[in-house]
Amino acid sequence: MPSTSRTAPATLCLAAALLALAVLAGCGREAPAPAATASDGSGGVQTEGRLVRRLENDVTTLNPVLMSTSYERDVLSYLFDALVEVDATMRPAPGVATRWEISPDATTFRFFLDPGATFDDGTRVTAEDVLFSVRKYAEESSQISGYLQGVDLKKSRVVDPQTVEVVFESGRSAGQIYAFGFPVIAEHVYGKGDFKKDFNDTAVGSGPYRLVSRTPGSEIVLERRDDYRGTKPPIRSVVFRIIPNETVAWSALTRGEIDEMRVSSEQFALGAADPEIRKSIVFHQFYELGYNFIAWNNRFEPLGDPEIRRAFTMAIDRGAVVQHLYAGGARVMSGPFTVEQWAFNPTVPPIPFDPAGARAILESKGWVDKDGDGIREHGKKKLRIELIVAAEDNASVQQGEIYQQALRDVGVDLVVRKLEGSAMIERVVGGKFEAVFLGYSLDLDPDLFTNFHSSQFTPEGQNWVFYSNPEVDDLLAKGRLELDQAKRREMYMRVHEILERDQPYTWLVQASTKWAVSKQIQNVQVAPGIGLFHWVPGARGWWIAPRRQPTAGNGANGS
Amino acid sequence: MTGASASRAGARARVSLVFLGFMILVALVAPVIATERSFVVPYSPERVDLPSRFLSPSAAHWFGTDDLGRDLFARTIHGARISLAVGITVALLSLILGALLGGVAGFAGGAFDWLVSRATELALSFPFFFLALGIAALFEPSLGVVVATLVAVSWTGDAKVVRGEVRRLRDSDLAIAARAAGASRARVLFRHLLPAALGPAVASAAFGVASAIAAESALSFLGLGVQPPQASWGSILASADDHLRRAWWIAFFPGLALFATVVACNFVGEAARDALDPAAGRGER
Amino acid sequence: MASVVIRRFVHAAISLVGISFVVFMLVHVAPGDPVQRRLGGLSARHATPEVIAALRAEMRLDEPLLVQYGAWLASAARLDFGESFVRRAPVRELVSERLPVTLLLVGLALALAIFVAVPLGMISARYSGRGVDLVAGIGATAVYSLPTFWLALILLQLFAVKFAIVPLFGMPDASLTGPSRLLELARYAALPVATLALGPIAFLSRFVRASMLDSAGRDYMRTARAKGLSEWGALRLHGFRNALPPIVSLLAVAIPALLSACVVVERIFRWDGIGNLFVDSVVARDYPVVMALTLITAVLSLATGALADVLHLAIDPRSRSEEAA
Repeated sequence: MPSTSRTAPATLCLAAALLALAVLAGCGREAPAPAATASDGSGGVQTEGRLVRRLENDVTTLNPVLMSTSYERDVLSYLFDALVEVDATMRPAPGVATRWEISPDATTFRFFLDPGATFDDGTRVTAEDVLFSVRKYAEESSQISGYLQGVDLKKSRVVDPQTVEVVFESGRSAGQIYAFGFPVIAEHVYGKGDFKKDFNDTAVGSGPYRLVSRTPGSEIVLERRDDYRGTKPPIRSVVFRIIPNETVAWSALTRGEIDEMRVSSEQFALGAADPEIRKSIVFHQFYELGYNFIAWNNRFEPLGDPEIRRAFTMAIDRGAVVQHLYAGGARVMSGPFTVEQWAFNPTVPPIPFDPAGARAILESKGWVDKDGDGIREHGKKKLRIELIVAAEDNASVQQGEIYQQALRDVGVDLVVRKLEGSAMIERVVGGKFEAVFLGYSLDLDPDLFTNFHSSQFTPEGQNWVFYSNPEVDDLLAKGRLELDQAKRREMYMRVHEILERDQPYTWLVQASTKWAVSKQIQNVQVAPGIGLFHWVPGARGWWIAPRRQPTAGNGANGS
Repeated sequence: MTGASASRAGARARVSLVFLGFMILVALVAPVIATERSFVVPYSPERVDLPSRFLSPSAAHWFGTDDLGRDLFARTIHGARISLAVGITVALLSLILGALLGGVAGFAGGAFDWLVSRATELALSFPFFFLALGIAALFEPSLGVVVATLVAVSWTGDAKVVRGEVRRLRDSDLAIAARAAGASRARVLFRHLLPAALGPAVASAAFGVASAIAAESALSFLGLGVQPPQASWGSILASADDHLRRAWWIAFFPGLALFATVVACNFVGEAARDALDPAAGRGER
Repeated sequence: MASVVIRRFVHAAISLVGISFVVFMLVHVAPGDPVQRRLGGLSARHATPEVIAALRAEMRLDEPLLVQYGAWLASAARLDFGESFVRRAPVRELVSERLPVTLLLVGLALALAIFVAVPLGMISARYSGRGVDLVAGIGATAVYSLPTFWLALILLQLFAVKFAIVPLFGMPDASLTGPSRLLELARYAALPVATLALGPIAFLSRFVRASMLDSAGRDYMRTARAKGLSEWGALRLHGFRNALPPIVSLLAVAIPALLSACVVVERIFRWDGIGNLFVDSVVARDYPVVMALTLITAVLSLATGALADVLHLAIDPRSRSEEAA
């Protein structure tokens, strides 16, 4: 049931829906065998054809600095190359910059640009353009302005036309390199006119495709650039068709009018079981970097006690949730990292379901049900906690009710309170809550500094639960500056271990994303933790098999 | 109307009243007959049981189970408590508010009357549910908000009726006699006119209950009513929407209870209206 | 008559300003911050406070409420409803995309209601007090007691799941053309239109019946009968004329009711009309869209109400004298 797609445009924001939305990631659970690999070199690869992608909602701007939705990101990833791209293993990969150097104190980033990189108006991508881009992303109302906080625009400089140096005021995180995953824009184009208004319908990028036309509310047509640096993608034109309605999109997919779409769990289950549908459509199920969790406000008694929080986690049968609610298409989390992340500590098992153990802990802490109403007390105080869930998301409400029952079984009164999205965000960001059920999609770098460092209590950072642990503070502060990945990994594995012990969150499950792709499309690959799109080569390596029997009429565009 | 059809309407109303009485009884005893320790229905309406999701109706679960394995019979009869309580409360509060504002407006006239008249005109011509939804969505969802919202948008109907009656009675012998006897203006209104003017509004109270029950369920259906894990007929149907293909029973039984209750209220309302004003045609509201 | 029309118009204009003021104040004082929402909710963690403040100013949320309302009213008068906070498209564009969908549903439902209810009301009147009439009477009460969303769910269960003759939900694909488009429209629209039409059918059929019975006693009917027309003939001849006032009344009542019903119907059948948009926008605190839709539904309701009054005057001279009284 497309409860998420109903509110799709708003979901980017809505934390609980973030999971469903995060179009970024995944790891092949059952690695979807590329339907046909180009066995003899590139012999089988067709270098023509048209890919029709489904866009759940129209873009509101084609200006990369102003983009705020995943739909815009989808389109812009064809039109613009990022300064630094991401490869199939989630590592930084050459984009417009072919290589880079990071100073030992992680304040200075020097990028060496691809001399072949050009914008689609034929001009070269220069160091000035990169510096211009950095300035725009840091100053305009861009979503990533926070990533570039502390950038010193006076010290940042052009070294030569192909080399640029970006300097930060103080030591930045080793993962800061991911902040440079933004599309590079051309100063001679975007530097003129009204930046907020003039570039919403046009685009001059350095990507492999150029914008041919945009029909608001209907479609966006892109065409391959012949003067693109490096490998040209096999597909000649990419069309984004805007189809907000999931069922309409599904029937368009079955008729062959679009080539791919994200599908709901229900559609996935129905489609994957139907041999007729499987003749023309391949289903992919993969995991993105994201999970859902219950955040416990450590300032609210008795949630400040890690053992109490641990008891709550023990009371929840996450295995049953995976089995019954997700039909197996999810994983129980053991801590703050997912299995795809290098910071993941495989020696930490998820806390097992153990209601008896939970009861014992609560009892030992003095929480006993003396009046026999099923809820424990400590003196006069009842063990009652309010859990906030997103009102508009049926799945969130449903999960809230499950956890409510689970905790009631050990004598805790978890009161589920449905809150409308922005009211909920206000409470969470303000730290004015007791417990909240949320979904999270993660950054590529596993830095948890803003989430769990004690200097990052909201509103300073995102530590809304007011978690504080000196050892974690130390590890997170050092870890983000550590350039030696092996050492950094060791620190984060220790963080994983401590956070699992302290349970500032009850980490619940990492749910899979499901996608349906036409069988016509070849070389569809899933990158672990990322998914089908937003890595290189990714969807840029797709090609389209010629139709076996060119059916007469019905939109058979001669390929 | 002929005597025959009036008596048939009366018979329908009696059957409806019996049914409503039964529903109220069920609502009252629900916490006793549907709990884990009960012999009748050994399930609490909130008991989540994941392995028992989507069980079809059977001897063990008369109305089947929902998407969290909760017993739908227990939930439906507990839902009756919410629906009936909301329906009756809203109708009562609307009547009180409407009578006060409408009565004073009709009696005093002037600017206040103008304001009340515009408000009623507006509320009656504006999509009722748009307004209710708009107000309800702005606050943290709870039963209190639902009741307040529904009263806020439904008092105008009562106000309009009472205002009209008071205006009619204002110049009647009743008022003139009272004034002649030296009663104050307030006394004339509240002691003499309002009681006489309330008749039609009271008679339509059953319609008010019906529409409040329907509106509460619609708001709960959209997630703006009761808070989980409380069951209201509307909130049960909300989960049915997501599982049409798997479980018809989630939608069927609670919806049937809702429908039957609303119909019964409307039949009672029709009979009351006919009794008060035999000339009024049936089926027009 | 002209003065009546003018008075209606003035009242309607005052009502519009009133409702827009009330709703404007309500949405702005309610909890929830559209700026967080616009920046992407909790992912706004990557935006700096300066950026947030700038955005607040850009969305004009930093001004006093009355100033904001004044500015809104001034541009609304020019049919400029600003830009959606969430979708960042001009509200006018959004609405002009969604409104036809809702109007299509409402229009089809009204047409179906008139098509079914007029003959039904005539038959009821003809057999007044007998079996058919009684069943129709009880049925009418039952039908308008049906909760819209339950009716929708039951119809879906029956026709989309059990018999599988129509799609479960969704909208017809706009890219189809010609006959296949009509067929597709019929398949997708059948259930939502039926759901919407049942209430008006119940209402209108009883109204037509009452109007016919009322006229049956009047002189001209007697004349018609005296002229030798059969009872059916008389009903048919003058009946349609008598069905007009109820249809006009239906317009006034049914538009607000149908728009209300559309909220739930569009939700369940996944039609992207203004009802669905309204729910999404209220929840997302998308003030410009909420305000525009409030105004548009109010205009639609008030306009049809006023139109109905004027039509009444035109087709039924008697109400003219009543109005004067």
